[in-house]
Amino acid sequence: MDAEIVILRLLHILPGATWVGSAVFLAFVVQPALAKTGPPHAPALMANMLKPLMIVLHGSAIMTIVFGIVMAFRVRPDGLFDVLWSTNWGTMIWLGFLFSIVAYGIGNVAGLSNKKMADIGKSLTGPPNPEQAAEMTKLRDRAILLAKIGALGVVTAVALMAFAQHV
Amino acid sequence: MDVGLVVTRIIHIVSGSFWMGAAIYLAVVLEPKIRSTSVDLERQLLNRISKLNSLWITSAAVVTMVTGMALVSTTPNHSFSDLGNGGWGTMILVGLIASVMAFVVSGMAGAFTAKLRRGLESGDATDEQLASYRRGLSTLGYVNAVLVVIAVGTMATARFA
Repeated sequence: MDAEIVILRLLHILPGATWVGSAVFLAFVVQPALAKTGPPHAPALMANMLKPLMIVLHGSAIMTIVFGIVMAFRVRPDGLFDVLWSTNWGTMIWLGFLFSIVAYGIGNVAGLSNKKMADIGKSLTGPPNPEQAAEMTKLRDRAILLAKIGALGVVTAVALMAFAQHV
Repeated sequence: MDVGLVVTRIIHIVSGSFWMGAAIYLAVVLEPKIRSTSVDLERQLLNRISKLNSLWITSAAVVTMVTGMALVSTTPNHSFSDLGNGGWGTMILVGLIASVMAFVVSGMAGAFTAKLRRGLESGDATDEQLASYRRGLSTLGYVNAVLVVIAVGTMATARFA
């Protein structure tokens, strides 16, 4: 057993699964439920949840990407960049990498929309006025849409990476 | 390329990832933060998402386990008779046991969630009872997350064992 590869694989797969599952669960279960609950509770919970959520999502995404890159260099020490463009395995790996980076970027924009909504929610001392309510609804809907796109992007990245060893 | 094997493997990996990530998200982020807001929000959220949670997570768990069984029997050079024998068989067996235990623990957590939801809805439950349901739910959530991580870790490293 190659202990280094096993450890790298665990450091890539465990955070990867955490990233995928958290992103899909947040985008398709939690955020739509919070949208139905509405103010004043939902923005308050989102504000409260944002910090640990960002730690889990950023931490798992960065670990997945960094250890994925290290593992790719480790399993193809004799020229990763040659096989990336000239083999089916390489094509699946760089496509998966691209999807994961784009999904991470989209997830960050969704997080910023959530943060702006939470900031408005925190600044409220009573019910929101019509402009504040409209702004919060716009930010919430944008965050939900972007989170769904980002989650689907990560799922696609996982599927491409899993497919790589069969082509 | 065996298309059936590839499709089964992708479904297994995606549903397993969702199961693990959702379990960690629930235990580490959502449950503690719901507790630290208001009882009214806890009641509303339990009403809105507890059944949806169960549906998504139970479905992901069932799909992961069924496709996992299919993979054991269709992976070249391996079969159910290898379970418990050698490195690969031992790791897969440990992962299988951990995932079944996680499924059972998840079901028990679902029962605590239902008790908590009913207690908050009816107002009949005492504060002590509600606190006991919350403690149970929180503990089972962490146990579930740890078991799913063990299952994914052992499965992911099985072919190197």
